[in-house]
Amino acid sequence: MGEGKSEILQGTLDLMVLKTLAAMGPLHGYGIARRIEQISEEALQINQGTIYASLVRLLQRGWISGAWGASENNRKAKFYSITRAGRKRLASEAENWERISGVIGRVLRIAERG
Amino acid sequence: MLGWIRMFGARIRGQVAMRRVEEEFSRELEEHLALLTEENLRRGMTAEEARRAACVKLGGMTQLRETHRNLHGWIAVETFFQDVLYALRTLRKSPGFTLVCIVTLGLGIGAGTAIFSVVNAVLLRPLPYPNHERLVRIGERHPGNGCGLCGNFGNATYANFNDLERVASTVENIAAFREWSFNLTSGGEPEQVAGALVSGNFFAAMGSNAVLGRMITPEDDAPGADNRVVVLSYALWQRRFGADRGIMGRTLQINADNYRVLGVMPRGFDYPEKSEVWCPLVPRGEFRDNRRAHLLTIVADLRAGQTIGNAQAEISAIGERIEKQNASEDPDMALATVSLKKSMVEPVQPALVVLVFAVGLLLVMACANLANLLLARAAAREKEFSLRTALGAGRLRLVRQLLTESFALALLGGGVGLGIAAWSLQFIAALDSQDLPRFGEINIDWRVLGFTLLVSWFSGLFFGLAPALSGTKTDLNASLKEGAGISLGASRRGASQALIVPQFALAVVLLVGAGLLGNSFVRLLRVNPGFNPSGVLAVELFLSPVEYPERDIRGALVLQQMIENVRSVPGVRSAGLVTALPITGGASTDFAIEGRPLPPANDEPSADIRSAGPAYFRTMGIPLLTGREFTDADHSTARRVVVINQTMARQYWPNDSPIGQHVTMKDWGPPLTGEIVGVVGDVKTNGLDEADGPMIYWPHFQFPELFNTIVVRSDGELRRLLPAMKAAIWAVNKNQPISKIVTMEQVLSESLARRRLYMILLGVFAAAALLLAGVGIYGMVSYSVSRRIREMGIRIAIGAERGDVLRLVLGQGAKVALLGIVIGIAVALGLTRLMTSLLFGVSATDPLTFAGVAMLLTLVALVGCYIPARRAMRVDPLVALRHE
Repeated sequence: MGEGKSEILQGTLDLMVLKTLAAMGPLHGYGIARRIEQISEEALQINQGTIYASLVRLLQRGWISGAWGASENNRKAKFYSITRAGRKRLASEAENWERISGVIGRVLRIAERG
Repeated sequence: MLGWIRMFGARIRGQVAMRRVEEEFSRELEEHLALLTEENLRRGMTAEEARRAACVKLGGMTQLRETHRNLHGWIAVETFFQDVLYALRTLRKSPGFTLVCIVTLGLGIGAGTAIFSVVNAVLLRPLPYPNHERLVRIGERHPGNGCGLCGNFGNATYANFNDLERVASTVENIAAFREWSFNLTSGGEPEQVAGALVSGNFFAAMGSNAVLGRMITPEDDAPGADNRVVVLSYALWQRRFGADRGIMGRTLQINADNYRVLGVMPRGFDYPEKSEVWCPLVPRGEFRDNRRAHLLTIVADLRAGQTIGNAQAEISAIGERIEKQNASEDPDMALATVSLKKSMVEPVQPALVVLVFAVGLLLVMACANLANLLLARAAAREKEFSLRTALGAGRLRLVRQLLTESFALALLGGGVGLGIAAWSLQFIAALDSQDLPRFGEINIDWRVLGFTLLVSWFSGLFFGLAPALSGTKTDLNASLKEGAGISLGASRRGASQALIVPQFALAVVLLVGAGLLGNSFVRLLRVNPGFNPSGVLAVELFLSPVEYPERDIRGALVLQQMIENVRSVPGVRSAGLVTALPITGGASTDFAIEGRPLPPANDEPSADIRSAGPAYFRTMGIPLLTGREFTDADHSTARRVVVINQTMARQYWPNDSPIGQHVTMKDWGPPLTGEIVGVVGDVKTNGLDEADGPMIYWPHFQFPELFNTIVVRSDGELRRLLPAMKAAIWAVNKNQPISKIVTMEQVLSESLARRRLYMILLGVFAAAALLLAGVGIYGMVSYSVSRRIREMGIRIAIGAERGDVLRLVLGQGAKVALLGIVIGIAVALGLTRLMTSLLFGVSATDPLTFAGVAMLLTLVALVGCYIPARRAMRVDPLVALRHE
């Protein structure tokens, strides 16, 4: 039900999670959230829980896999890593994203001048 | 469907795994929270602050868990089960309503399933032979003299079979067979079994192989080879030989000759016509070139890559060529090709189409009725829905729940329907109509089960959707305020009436169909068969062709002795002999009348021929019109004489007496000429529904045959004569099997079995339709009356006469019913044309039947309206006005 509401935002979050996993290797939920905040230079303050919805969706599509491991302080945590299908998806999505953001950027610039 | 099952399975599995998944998720969140808290601690917060900030940052735990759960599809399953449980609970709370629904639907689905199983077995399933896709039947057509049921599709001569085998290239394994009777005498009582004389490649054409030993091959069928070989059916091998594997190669006494057993066919192989024994056809010289004896049935396989169309074109071209070359011997012959399956099921196809239509209509009626019931119920539950809407249920949610209820009803109805279908199939099987093709194969298989499930599902959707949509369209304020409504919303009343109209229309169609069939049946029963069937017993004998070669006088002598023995059995009033009983068909021939110019070869008159013993006409009660019967003096060496029937006398001697004239029989060996000595009444030769044709009787000494029937007239109980009659026959030849014993009344009744079955089925459907229509209109009117009680009270209070109220209510129902009846008559006029081939003596638009049906339905409608109308009439205005 909630899936339809903010499709773009969800898609973006999924993309960011995928990219983070591709760049950093296996991470747990906290690690992913932290990493996204750092990269965005704290500009993107997300409700860290929403990352889990994204993780379930990516798991169900087979783009990431999850396994239990030990966290930094030696407690059990679930680590996620990107799968091969996930990498393919990331490549095409990233390209897509760049094209769209390029178009949107151009449109916005035109609008300013006009 | 499959996708749905898979999804459902995944959800069920999800449910089981859910606990574990949820626990893991909780642990994952816990860990996340711990890491966040540690981070906050590092930033210098107090323990409490750090924990609280971490919680804020992560978001609400409960909400997160809920979202997580939704993503795993848990909610959908939960809702589904909730709905199912709720639906079952609601249905159990009103058992009367539920029972009516389930029975109505069960009747509809049951009838549908039963007829579908018949159609499935007869028309849809492939023939049970390995080559079923390629098997075709090739037959001869002659103008004018085809048998009605098989569409002029006649048997072929051996010469034509040979020609075909030589030149046809679109088909292969061209095989011929002749249905034949076999007298088995080795071991046990002599028994006559059905079977066929087959050409060498018959089994290759069918594609079937023996399960034990081997089949007959072309070598076995070659003249001069060892032709005394036999293949047994699985059933015969089990029944008579105790499934003894040692039977291979052993010698059996068949038709008083020794036959070596070659093999046993697989279980279920009984082509043609419940055969149990197959022997080589072995064409002898004169038979090989014969172009007049149309005795063979030809089957063949389409060659790979050839279509039936190609074969039809090639074979009819071959037929034309043969006809040109042999125009003098077999004029106007044409060859035709159809698929074997079509040739087998064609006779019953029109009836099955009619029945399928009928059950379809019945099912639609049942659904309409149910839709109406649910509509009324939805209206009564308006308050419940309003309440639920007020509490926050979405409309979609309500529709879904109502549909779940409908599906639950539909599935329960489907279950009952399946039971009804299984029961009616038992009933159909018990009728055991021998002449219905493939009826032994009828059963409930996966396809039938799938059909029932699908029909239940669709009917659930069909009858559930309208009430669900209209029932949930509630104006919250209005209905909560209104209490029990004063009057039915006009739109909903319209919907309910709109459902009654097609019910009456469909009932008209079904009743007219049943009426026409019933009418035909009654007319058939009134047809005079030409003989007196009561008190006549017939005993069929097949003389062994080895002991008594065809046309040999010794066979006739033996039969004569048997008849004389039978005559002396106490209780027998007279006994006679004939080659083929009335009603059951028989041989025919072309003939010529002496002293008249010969007609052109393709226009020779033809007549049925029978050989009869002296007392045959007296025993059967066939009246002698002029001249004399056969006597013992009409011996083989005496002057050749014949007796003809009334139709032949009228047709060829319209103005003078045929007595003393001579006729020549052209077929069946060398032409035979006989003097006409008598004229007897017509008898029905092929069935009560056939027109009378010319018939020639020979004394059985002058034209002896192997197939004979002894007929006996007695005043007493016929079956009680049997032991003494058997003894009388066996006293002459102890190896003579008695193949079939029937009373003539049985023969008549069996000849009507197919029609009786169609009539019973359609009659049952029509009765169900009548019931549904009556209950439907009763339900509609009584519901509308109960909703308008207050209105009626007001009307009466301000001075309406009771008669006015009665008229108001009756008028409302009658209008709807009449509209339905008028539409139904129009539809029926178009549809009954489909069943013309099933009718006898009435036209498809018989005005009496139509009028009768219209009157019957009007009466049912009036009764259905009157009962609730009386209630409306008796309304006490005081009570009605206080009514909520």
